[in-house]
Amino acid sequence: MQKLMAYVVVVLAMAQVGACYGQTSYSTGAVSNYPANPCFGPNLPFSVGSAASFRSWYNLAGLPNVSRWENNDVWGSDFRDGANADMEPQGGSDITDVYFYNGHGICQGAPVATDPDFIFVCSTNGQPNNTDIGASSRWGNGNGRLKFAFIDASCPMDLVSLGNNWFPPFQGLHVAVGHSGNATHDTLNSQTRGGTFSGYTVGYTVNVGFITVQFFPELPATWAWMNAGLIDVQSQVCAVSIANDATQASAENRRDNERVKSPMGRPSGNWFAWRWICS
Amino acid sequence: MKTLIYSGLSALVLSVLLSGCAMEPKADAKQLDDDQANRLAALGTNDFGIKWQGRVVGAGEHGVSAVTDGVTTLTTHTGHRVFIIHNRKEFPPSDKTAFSGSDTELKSIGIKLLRGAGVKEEEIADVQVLQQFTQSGAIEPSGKEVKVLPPEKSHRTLVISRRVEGVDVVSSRLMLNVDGAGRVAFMELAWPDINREVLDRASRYMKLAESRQVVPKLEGAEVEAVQAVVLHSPAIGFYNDATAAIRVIYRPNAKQVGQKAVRYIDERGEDVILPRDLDRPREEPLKRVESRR
Repeated sequence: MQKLMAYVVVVLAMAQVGACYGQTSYSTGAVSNYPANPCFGPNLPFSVGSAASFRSWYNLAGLPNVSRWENNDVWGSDFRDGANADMEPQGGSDITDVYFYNGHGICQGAPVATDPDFIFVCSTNGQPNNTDIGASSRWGNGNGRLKFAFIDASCPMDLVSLGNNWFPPFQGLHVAVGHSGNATHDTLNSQTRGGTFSGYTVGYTVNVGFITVQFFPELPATWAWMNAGLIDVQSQVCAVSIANDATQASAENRRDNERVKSPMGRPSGNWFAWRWICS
Repeated sequence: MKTLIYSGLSALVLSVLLSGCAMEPKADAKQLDDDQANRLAALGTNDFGIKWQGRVVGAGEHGVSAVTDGVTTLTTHTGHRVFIIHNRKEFPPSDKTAFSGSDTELKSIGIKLLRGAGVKEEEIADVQVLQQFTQSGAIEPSGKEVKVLPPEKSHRTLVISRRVEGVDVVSSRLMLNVDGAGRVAFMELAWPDINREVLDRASRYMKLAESRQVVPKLEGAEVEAVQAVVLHSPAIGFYNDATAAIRVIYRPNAKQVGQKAVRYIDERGEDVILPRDLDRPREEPLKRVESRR
């Protein structure tokens, strides 16, 4: 009897550990402090709060948090490929399944296909503070595990240069979202956008007795961004989502249907599909 | 006795394991009784044209109630004009089921829904049909060339914004996606009544915004726009706060730096307390250690 119980406990424990292991993990990186010297300014008052709101929904959904760095603790190297960079064990962007970034990016006046897209942090560590996404970011390669890159900056996903800047980073990455815009049509720092997007990606469901009611819908990442990405943006800014897979059809399917809480298998292939909506 | 101890330990181990990873917190959600559920379902039918497919059940928590038949769910912030409708068979949509009516027809559907919800038509500000696009491309097997196919039109989303007594209520919106038959596939309607005190304050802020007297400076930026606004809690959340504010948008001095800073201030130039969405989890402060390179 005791042996039988021991077996039952071990099997259940393994099943539970398996379930935990399979859960989507997430990190946030948010920068509000951009002193003019040396980071040009201005401060972004709501970036840190936006990331906190993002985490609140994921916490409510029970997803495990890997890191939640703010300000000087968000390093430029977190977004560049490498063992001591995006695989840095405290906060690299490739050591987690989901990474939500909120802070400055870099916008061109009138972007062209050869212009880079950037993430721009402000830290004394892991410099340089600006990361050229197309040249330096590679997600999902090696032991990297990033599946969803959520870049809530300014112009990190310009449509005109998507092929140059966003095809190369997909090395196992599933879906990425960001904005397309320019210096005069830009995103506004927002307390709400990150939280609403977060809420839509994981939803909120309650079980009462034998009934299940989804209070807030859990949507695929792309549709969550189509719904939330245009909150607090200026006119002509676009919310963009892109996915990668082996064929055009499978990339489109991943783009439109992949969810944070139930990610599809690892993509491999040279096809990319993207969707956008503009204000 | 041994068996008893063993059973107890096993139960303890199991309970620790089961609480150790993701379990959605079941705070204080309560099932709606049949009358409550049916009333909310009837509101969905009468105001938003929902055709329920079977028996509806519902639950409520922290002032938010929802009713569902397993396909369509209607969620509301009880007592406020905040609704979310999600038909999970129709949204996310497929291109085969796209609405083929005109933009004018789509706008009419949205305005009809607003009327159904009791929105005053004079509060409707901009009515926009936003066209979504899709595109795909590939890196050629050689790895050197990128092939990009032409963009294609996809679904349309209707977005309606709100202005009350000349003040933009920037948190309010109707966002609507309809199915091929013009029925709601997904709707987020956040259009709560704004109390008189907040509107009066917003009215005073309009004059202050024009004069720009109280606008604080922000290092590394210059003021781009100043406007009196009303803010309220988002639909995706459990709160129903509202406040008036002077919104200041700042343009970075360094032309290449993107994402514009924003502050929401009061008549003294102090930051206002922003409406909440949900409670934040308790988090301990952290300090990151510089890694050896």
